[in-house]
Amino acid sequence: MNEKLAKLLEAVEYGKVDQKSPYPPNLKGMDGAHELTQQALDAGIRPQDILEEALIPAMGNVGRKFSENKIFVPQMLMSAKAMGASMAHLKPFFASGKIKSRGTFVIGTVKGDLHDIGKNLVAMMVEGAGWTIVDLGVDVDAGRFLEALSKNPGAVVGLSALLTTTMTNMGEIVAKIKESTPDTVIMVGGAPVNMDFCRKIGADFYAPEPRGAVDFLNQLAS
Amino acid sequence: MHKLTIHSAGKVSSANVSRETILLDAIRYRGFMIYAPCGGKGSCGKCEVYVRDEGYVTSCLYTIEEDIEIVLPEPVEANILAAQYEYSRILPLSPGPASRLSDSPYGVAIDLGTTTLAFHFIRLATGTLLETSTVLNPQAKYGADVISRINYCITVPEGLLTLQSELIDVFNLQLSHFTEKSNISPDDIVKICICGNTTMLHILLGVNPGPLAFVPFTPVFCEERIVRASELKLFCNPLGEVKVLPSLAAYIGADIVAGIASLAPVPAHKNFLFIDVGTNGEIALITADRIWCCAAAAGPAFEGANIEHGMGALQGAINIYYGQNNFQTIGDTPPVGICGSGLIDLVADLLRSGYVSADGYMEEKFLVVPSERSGNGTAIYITPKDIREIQLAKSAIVSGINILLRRTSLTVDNIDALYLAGGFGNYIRKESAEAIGLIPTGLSEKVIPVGNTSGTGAILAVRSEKFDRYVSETLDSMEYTELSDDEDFALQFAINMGF
Ligand code: B12
Ligand code: FES
Repeated sequence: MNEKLAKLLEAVEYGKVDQKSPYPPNLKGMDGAHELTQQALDAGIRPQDILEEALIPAMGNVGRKFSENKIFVPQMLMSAKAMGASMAHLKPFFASGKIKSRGTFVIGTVKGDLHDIGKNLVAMMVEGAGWTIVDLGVDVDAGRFLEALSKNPGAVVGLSALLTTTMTNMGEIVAKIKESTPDTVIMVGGAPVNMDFCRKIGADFYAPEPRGAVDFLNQLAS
Repeated sequence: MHKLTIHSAGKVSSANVSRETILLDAIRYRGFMIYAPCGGKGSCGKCEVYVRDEGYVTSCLYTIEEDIEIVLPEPVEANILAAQYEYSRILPLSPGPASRLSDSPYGVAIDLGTTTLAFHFIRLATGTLLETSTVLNPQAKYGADVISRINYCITVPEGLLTLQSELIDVFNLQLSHFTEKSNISPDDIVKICICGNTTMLHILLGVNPGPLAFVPFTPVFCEERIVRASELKLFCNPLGEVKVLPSLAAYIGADIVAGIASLAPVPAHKNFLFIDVGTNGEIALITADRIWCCAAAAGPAFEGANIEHGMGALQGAINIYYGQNNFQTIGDTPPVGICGSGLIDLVADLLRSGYVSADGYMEEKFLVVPSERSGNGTAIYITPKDIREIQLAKSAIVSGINILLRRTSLTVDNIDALYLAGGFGNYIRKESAEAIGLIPTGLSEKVIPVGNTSGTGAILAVRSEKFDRYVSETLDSMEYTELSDDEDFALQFAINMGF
């Protein structure tokens, strides 16, 4: 693989945002995702290759290590930040169609709930898998999901809830979405949610952590 | 019909149950207490009971299909420490008009906790504390935390009534124990003061706690409520006064408000922290003119839930861990699990030895007690996932502290003391708490365990009407910070997860 892309992959996997960033300590002073992406573009590497050969595999490794419990929330967050720094350079190419997105993923924390740390991680990991993210934020009701779906037809929906009480709102949201667009694929997650609950409310998929979500989406896209 | 024979605390009872009844339900239905923190969802595995000829089973997943005989776990009394008086206010005796309802009036102070209830019986003529008794909250069978209880109230028909009656029944049991034992008439009990978290107080008064569990988390009531004992059908003087102390917000209840009001800090303590390291993780930063507070939602890890071999501060729990094969258990009985303070020690030790790295990574589970030395024949481990749970819980607390400090522009150096509320504070080894980062560096020397301050507050309220003033002063100076709206919280939370 191209040496620049290998370096970028490493920077994203270990959460090196930019040169100034003190994290991780062993990469101190080195170029981060921000600089390395610019260099890759300057060297004429295709944006699509930057995404597919550096960012996606880096975030894939992060997701795998997280699900194997080798890393935890802070490391995943730093990697996601590094990915974000790189993505900032790639955004124009998505807009111009030079990079093809794998699909659109609409995500939000359901009505009544404000917990968003897990939801944000899932959004970033899915973005790192090459998807376009529409993040509706927290305390999102069925109406706002429907609105987002009408603007992004065919998007996959992700619902997050962290409270045993707000989890029940998921059922209502799923029902409303399925009523208006029965083909919409809906994924649910959050600490109190499980597969049984997912089936009970008629959602399509449950994943305990981001990796499962990414694998499922990739299957859909392929 | 099948016959269910239950062995519990040396007694045997039997009953007929209809076919296909879930064992957990059958046990509960017959009035036995059983620890079921996930509320019978089959996810926590803590509701185990022993079935003769079959071994241990998860009772909420077990359907009764034949005659069976079961043995319930020993009803170990929760080990809750009596209130500590050293740092609490001393007020002149003035129990108020209710005391005129009897020639020899008595009062009861109740700390209504999510997990445990503490009852303090007081002779109002002298203010003497005659007896303290603690029992587990009978609602525990419907779930460990307040959210599960609220969920029960809003999803099960008559759920609120069921949970309210559970409380009234246990109150009445305690009241009648006391009147019988002290040979007094129920009419002599004329004043009852109650502290607890906002959810418990809603349920006690039969007020729907539903709104507490959804944005914007608005309580139906926060103010002090006084009702006649007859309205709650309590076994005491029907005209007796039942006072429910005021709360501040959905997650800063009367337990915290009265707890802070009950403190008499030494004058040298100008700025100090008050923390309840429980599931809701309430934190207050007390300064000369304001009391800044928040609820950090730490979760129940330090109460032993979500931890594979975790348990409450019950008999047989490892509560102090000095190093490999060197630990202490509650009641000095063979170890059966690890409680909060033991967990903190253990993680601190594993960090020192490098078994757990600073980012919380642990390659393999660690054997704490081999099966042959444990009290129930099962080896006790701490797992990599347990470490992650501890990271979440401790980070929530430290992040809450940091956010409050930021609000006041104070730093850890400006903090003169850290008052730790709850039984937990009495066992916790400060060095360990600092080593795992539950307490900010530099504060461990300033930790003062103050015991059950909610109970102390209730006692003061029974003894003296003057306490009302301290409660309202406290309430007036409290400034609630909603961490959900805090831009910094998520980042703080991630940073503080490291050890
Ligand atoms: C951090 C936290 C908060 C923060 C939230 C900050 C924020 N911006 O999100 C603050 C302090 C504000 C907070 C407030 C409250 N909290 Co809170 N909080 C927690 C805590 C400590 C950690 C949650 C967390 O972020 N975990 C880390 C993330 C990464 O994990 P995660 O969210 O589960 O997400 C992972 C997976 O679930 C999955 N996932 C998540 N979403 C999705 C979506 C999809 C589609 C998929 C596929 C996967 C997926 O992927 C993620 C990565 O693996 C937990 C307790 C604990 N120890 O776990 C309590 C906890 C969740 N909170 C709780 C409560 C009750 C509250 C409050 C209502 C009351 C209170 N103060 O106690 C309030 C207000 C509610 C609100 N904000 O909505 C309870 C819930 C209890 C229950 N039975 O439901 C808990 C369990 C603590 C407790 N008291 O027992 N809380
Ligand atoms: S597994 Fe039975 S109560 Fe949790």
